[in-house]
Amino acid sequence: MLFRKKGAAARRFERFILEFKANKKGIAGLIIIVSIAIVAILAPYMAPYDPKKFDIKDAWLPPCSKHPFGTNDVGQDIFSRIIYGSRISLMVGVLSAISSTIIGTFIGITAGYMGGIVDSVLSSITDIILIIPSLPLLIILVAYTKPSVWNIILVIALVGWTGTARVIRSQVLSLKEREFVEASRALGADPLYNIFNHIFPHVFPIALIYIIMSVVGGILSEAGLSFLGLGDPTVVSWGIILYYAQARGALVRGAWWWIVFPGLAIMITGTGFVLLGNALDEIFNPRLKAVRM
Amino acid sequence: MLLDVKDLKVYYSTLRGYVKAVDGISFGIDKGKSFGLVGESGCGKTTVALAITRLLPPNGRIVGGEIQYNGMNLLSMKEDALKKEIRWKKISIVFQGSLNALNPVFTVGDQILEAILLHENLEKEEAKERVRELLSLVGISPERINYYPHELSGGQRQRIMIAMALACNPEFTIFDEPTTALDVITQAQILELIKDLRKKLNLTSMLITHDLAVVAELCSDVGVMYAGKLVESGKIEYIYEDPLHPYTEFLIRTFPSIKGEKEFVEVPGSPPNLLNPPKGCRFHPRCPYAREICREKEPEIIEVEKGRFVSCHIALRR
Amino acid sequence: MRISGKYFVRRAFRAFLILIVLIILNFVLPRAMPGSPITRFTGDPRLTPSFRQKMLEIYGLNKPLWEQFKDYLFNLIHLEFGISYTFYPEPVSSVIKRNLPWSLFLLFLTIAISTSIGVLIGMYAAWKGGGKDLAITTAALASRSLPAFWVGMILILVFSYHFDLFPLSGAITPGKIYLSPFEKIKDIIWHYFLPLVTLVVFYMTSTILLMRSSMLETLGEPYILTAKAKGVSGWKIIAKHAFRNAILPIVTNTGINLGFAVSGAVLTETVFGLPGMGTLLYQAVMNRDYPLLQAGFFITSLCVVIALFIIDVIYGFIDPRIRYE
Repeated sequence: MLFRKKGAAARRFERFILEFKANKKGIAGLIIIVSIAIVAILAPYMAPYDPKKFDIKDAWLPPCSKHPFGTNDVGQDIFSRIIYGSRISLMVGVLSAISSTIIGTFIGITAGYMGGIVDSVLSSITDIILIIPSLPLLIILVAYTKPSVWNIILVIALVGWTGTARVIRSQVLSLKEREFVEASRALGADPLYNIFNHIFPHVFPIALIYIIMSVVGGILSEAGLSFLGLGDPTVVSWGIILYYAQARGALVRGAWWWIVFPGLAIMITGTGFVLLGNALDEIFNPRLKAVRM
Repeated sequence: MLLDVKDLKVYYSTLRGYVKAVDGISFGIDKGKSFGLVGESGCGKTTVALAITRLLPPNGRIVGGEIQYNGMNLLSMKEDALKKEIRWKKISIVFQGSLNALNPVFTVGDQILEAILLHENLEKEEAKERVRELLSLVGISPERINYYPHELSGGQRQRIMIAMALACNPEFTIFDEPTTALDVITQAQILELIKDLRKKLNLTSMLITHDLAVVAELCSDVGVMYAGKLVESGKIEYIYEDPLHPYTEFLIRTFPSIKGEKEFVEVPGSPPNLLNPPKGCRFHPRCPYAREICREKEPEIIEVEKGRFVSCHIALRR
Repeated sequence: MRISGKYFVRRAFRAFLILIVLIILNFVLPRAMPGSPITRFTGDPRLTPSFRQKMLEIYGLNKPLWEQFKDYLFNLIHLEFGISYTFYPEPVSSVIKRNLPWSLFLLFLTIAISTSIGVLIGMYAAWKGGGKDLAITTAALASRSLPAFWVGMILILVFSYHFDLFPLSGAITPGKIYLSPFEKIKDIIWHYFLPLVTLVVFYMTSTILLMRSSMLETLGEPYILTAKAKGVSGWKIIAKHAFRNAILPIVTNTGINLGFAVSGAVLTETVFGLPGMGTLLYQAVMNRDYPLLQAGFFITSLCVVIALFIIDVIYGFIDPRIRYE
């Protein structure tokens, strides 16, 4: 019994690798993500300057040999700030994505499996948070708490789990109808056992995709919040760089380097995750073209 | 012969290689006759229908063979000519109506109307009148012309599909699984309807089904398909009285009485993988009479008597 | 006509339910969160007891919770949200009344334009497939990671700063005297052009991707094969048979994505200095103007709920399966 299960899982994994290798978008996404991760991890070795060090006489410099991305209004090297910023932005993105997906998966499975009143209540809560515009809600929540990176992660996770919950719930509902779950229930198996053995393996790929897709949302939310001045003032993130750009008048002075490069960093990183998530989505979801016999 | 299919080969290209859904099939249908194509699910029957009507999905390719309709080469016809002359006016097809074969956002009347207006030069009011005639022809009250598909039962939707297929008075109609997914009583009604219509309109037809009883009711000739090959074909009485291919024999034997209960045919083993069909005769892994030669060499198609074909090494020697 | 009213009643009930939750949420949040002014006052040990008592009186916090809620509801119904700190002594309700129309204007145009263009591009990508599809899909996916405010900033940089084609900020040229209402409209359009482009690019990508996948899924349905068998031509299959079915998820999604559009609008208004709820929220947070912040959040959410209900109604008319239940 165990041997056969292993064989099936191994075969599925092999097929997955085959399909993934054929997906160009996925490969591109993976390369981007790995590169950014390397930059974030090796930041102290890659950044030419200390991101917080400033020198007024070097302020407002456009890109040059000493400062490839130019400097800001107090002379800080933007290139170094972007490299260090990757740490915070990535961290917020990934951690908030994992947290929100865990919450969403948990709620989705509970609502789908339990059904009845539990489902109605959880679904209503999900719908309500889904409908309320996320940024205003984030603003309110952050406005009432201390500005810190961890609070931001928490708040983004609290607002962002709804999409995951909905999808997982509908997946669980359709799985529940399948015979093997009914049979297992009839045998009197403990519901938790059911969930882990039968439902979770099917739900896991979806959760994985949502984690990857949510990272982008997390990065963008952090950037948005920081841009509005609600970020953690003690750290450097791409959103914070842009906040200062707006606040210190980069637009009025035409300091394009202060604006373009941080935004490109966000965009490239986000694109990497989106491409990877999209590739996984194409692989795990049934193909849209049916082969007719 | 109205329809002449010679050595038809249709392959689907997938990530894992070519699925040989139809691998060298030949048969002919005379005018006024009805031909039944039987076989398990997934043996390639619907693919044959899609090939004849040139409705294959993008990854399906006709890699060999000929299809002649009334002397015209269907496969080499250009899309425009096909649409203007053949589609719906000469050849029409009825899909399984109980599933999503009707567009849910348009009324059934509109959908039949569209078929008429596309091919005939009628005024809208005249065409609508014809729609009502068609509805009564298939046993649906003409008032339902403005109903949406989801407001009708499975049997009624199947009738609508039939009405739509007959809208332009075709010569030849293909029925793809016309009674599958319907309850027994409705099945009988639909079969009666098809029999009736065939006689009334002098229709040549091809029936695709996995259900032997349906074929027995409606068809004059039958072809048995297995794993993309036509293993036996001929007049229906002869095949039923004296099946030559082991697969046909098994199909028939599992039916204690053709007009009796309906069962799904269960042959031991599972259908073969069409990506990599078994060497030799494709049925040999499940055949109780299999010999050495069956594992090695693919059997040729022998014409046992006029109009009676079988493809088996041991057919005549049992 | 066999239209059932059940669907609309259900939708109205749902909207009402959400409204109730919103009202309660708006009451509870300031009193529960640690950083809010109310808890700050009640929890801060440095305040002298008499001062604290005074503050509690002003905020009405010395009354029992039940009475506080009654007062809150009373004020809510009369749209009495207090006085704004930022615009002192202007009451919050008047501030919102001034700014809300601008936001509605911006959002309505955004949704209309981006949905129309997005649907067309999505259909095109699904129909053509192959290289063109891959290019469109990749471009759409890449745009998903564009911060809305950044796009705005770039546009300002290029078109306002370098090419001097558009104004740097604001909805109208300050101090300008208009010779005719037509001139005023032209001025507004000139100011709103870049913000609209920003928001449309931001909002359009999800429509494109959704329409494309919805169209692809629809094209795989059996009734499309039936239409092809009947002899319906390629373009007509897309435009008539597939479109009516594929567009359905777009309508529902517009409702769900409204919150998303609003978020984008908040950022865009801030970058371009446009009047509207987004700018209000921003200023309220900056100035810790809590009455404005709460009211702004509430009104924004209220508008979304109403818009959602309208969209549900529209959907009910488009999908006959719902209508004729």
